[in-house]
Amino acid sequence: MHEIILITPKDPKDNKNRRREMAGVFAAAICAVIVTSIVLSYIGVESFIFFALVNVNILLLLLVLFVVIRNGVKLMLDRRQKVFGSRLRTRLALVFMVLSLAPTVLMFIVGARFVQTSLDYWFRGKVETSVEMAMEVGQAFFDSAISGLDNAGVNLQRGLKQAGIAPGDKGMDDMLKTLRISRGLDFAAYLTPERRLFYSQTSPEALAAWDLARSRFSWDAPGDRNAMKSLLQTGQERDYAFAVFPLSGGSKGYIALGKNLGPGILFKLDRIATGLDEYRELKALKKPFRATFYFILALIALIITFGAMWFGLRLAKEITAPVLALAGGTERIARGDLSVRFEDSGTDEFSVLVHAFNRMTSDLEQSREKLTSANAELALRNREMAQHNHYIETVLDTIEAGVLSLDENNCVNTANKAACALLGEEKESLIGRRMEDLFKDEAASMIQGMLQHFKDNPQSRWQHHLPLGTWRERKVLVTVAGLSTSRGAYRRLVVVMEDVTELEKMQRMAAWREVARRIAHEIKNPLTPIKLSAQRLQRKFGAQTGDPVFAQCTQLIVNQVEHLQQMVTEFSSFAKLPEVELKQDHLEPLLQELIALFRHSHSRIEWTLEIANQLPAFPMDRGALARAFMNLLTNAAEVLESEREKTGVERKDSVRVSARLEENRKIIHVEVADNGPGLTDEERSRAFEPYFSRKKGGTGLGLTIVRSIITDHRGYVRALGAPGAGTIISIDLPLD
Amino acid sequence: MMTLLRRALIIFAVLTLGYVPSAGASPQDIVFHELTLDSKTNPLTVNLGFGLTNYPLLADMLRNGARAELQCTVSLQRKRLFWTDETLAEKKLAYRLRYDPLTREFLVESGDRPPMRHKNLEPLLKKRLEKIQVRLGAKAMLEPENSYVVRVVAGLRHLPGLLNLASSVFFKNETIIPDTSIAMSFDYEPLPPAP
Repeated sequence: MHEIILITPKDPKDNKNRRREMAGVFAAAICAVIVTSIVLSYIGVESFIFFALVNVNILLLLLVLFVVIRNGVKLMLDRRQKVFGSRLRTRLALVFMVLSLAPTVLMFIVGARFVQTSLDYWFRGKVETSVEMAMEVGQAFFDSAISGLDNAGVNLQRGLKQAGIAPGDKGMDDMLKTLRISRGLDFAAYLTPERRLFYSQTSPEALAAWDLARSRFSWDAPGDRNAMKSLLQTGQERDYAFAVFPLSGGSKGYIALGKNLGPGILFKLDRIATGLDEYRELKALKKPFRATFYFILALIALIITFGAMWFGLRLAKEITAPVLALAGGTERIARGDLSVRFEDSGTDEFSVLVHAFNRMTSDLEQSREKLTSANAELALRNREMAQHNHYIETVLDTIEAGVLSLDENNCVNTANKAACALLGEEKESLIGRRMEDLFKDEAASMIQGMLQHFKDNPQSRWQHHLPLGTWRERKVLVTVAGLSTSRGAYRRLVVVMEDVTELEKMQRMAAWREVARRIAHEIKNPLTPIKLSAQRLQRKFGAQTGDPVFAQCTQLIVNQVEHLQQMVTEFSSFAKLPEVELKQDHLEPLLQELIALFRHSHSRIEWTLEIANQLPAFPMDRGALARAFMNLLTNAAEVLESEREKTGVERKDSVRVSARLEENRKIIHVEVADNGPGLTDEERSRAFEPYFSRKKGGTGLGLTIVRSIITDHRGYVRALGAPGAGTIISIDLPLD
Repeated sequence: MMTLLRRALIIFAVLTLGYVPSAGASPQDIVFHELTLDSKTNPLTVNLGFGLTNYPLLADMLRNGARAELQCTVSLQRKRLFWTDETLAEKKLAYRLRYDPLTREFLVESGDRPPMRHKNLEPLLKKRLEKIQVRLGAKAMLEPENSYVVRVVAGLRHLPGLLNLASSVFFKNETIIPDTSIAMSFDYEPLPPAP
């Protein structure tokens, strides 16, 4: 089961959500533009809505700042903790930030400088001076117009006073008329204290203008109640300047004078005043303007910077996400989990990488499976081979033939137990030794010949008997064959050594038995007539002949014939050794009987019988064993007596017969030990060979017969002892 | 560390939200000289008088092209224990102040009345503001054994200039003098009818 990890969202719902989000963002941007336009155009910055929107924007900006800072801090922490992919993300975010920050800062600086320069230019001293001077011109014109009216009004009041004309009198009208003409006024009137027109010298246009101006006068303005009040008024075609002079604070009425200034004067003056107002208004807004521009520039710069940072972080995350996923997958693969797979619905280079990764993982998984199965099979084969090797080793270690394997340099590679026993060496000392070094003398030269033979004929076989041992007492049948390799080359040799010593001995014994039988058969018959004839001649002619030679010769003939008959008898016994008939019987009584017999017959020898423990019954041929022990005891007695005669030393001769049960070996061990001269190494090795005897005139068949009988009992007999330490004949008889 | 950063940002946001661009420390205030309620007349009339503490400063502002409006709201409210006071009557007064560079006079305009002009601002405003009568409404609004409060709120702020840049300039402080209020509470007990 594979674990699928999505690199990019494949779910249509996710894509739908994304599209929805983008649409929402786009709509929000449009709404922001529209709302901003409406608020700035129609509602103004003084409104609560504007204030709320500003705060919302500030909140959003803070939110973006928070998100950016949070992501930035998180990135820093990841980088510090050496989280995989953090360095790449940091680099991308920094690149985006630098790329956005540099032009943004430049734009801000340039923009701020431009704004500053522009504002300084707009509000430079020359402009202000020009505007103020224009205003001063207007003021001078106004002052001039008003001062003329003021002068006329003062003169009129003086004139009225001098003339003693009370306000409202008829003479006032004339004076007003005179004043109007003399001063070139367009309007001269007397107003009642109720500010109604009483006398007027005016043109219709001026009158109409006065009607408009009258409501604009600050009749109740604070300050000097007798002060002149003046204003400018636009008429139908021309502009007028009016001045009102309160008489006694207005309690006696007012004098109103007016003069036309010409068409459009007021408009121009108004424009000058308005221009100055606007300039001053602008000048008062210089700092707010600058702050506003700086704010806008800073806002844009922050939006660009934060947006770029946010975009950089997001892009970095999007770029590193698949890389991280792939890295995570690679780690899992390195840990051995090959079940991971990636799925990417995109078509970009990452998708190519993802697909390649999946292919690689699949291949690895298949290879591992194959490797696992191959390993399992190999393990099985190894187990089988180990079992086979164990079997072979067991077989090799259990067989009686010695098996050696030689390498290309004819050095021993392997050796089984039998080989070690045959060669008399430990396995560790055999391994690595050259084959020819394992043998000596004639055997070594034969081995060298064998090796040369195989060098020339690697595919052949070689078989030969080799003597082993110091006295060549053992015979080994060595068979050598070449081992072929899988390519058919023969570079190694297998040496099989079979100990045929006993076999040859048996063969020789059988041969000697046959010879003994034939000799006994051929010689035996003529011996009796020879002896009888010699005895007959003794009887017939012994008494007649006085020559002692005749008697000696005939006696000699008889003696030698008897000796020959004895030899023939022994030959016949050797040749006709009967088959043993094994029956359960006890050995102890037999030994006791024999010891008693020899104590009686050879009383000068101390005969000892030691039975260590109860000897159980075992399969034995009592008669054969009696004959065997008889030979052993007879040999021992003859050796002791011969030694005494030879040395002439009186000594305490003794023969000890001991028997014990060895339960662990399941045998009865019997020893016949004398304190005679002992055996040399040659004598010990050849003691049981036929016709080997150290007795003069001995047939050498006694121990041979003993060995034959013991062998028939499936036992083992050997001769022990060193020169001067006596002879021990050791016999092992199996219990079953 | 993230928690600390988050908290700092939240606090900063709150402070930013709570920040209201307020008028620069104004060197002048509105002072109330008179506040009386004439309950004998019908309708109820409030006699009000107030002024400023620094006329020259305002005069300089007006000479430099500023246009200001003195807004005054007079309200009669009935006190309630467990709810906000009920506004029974309210009148809003507005006095537009400006300077005519041509005539070099200060102007105070109010409603449909012709503007009052004077070369000095202080006497002009004093003339205009020291004696104000506001008719609130019929005396029948008052109910016996109820508590009422006459509240007056006055403030001075810039008027949109000739260029109407209010929609374009962000950091212009429109408030010259923040709203200042005065209140007068009373319990209404009708006079016994004349014998």
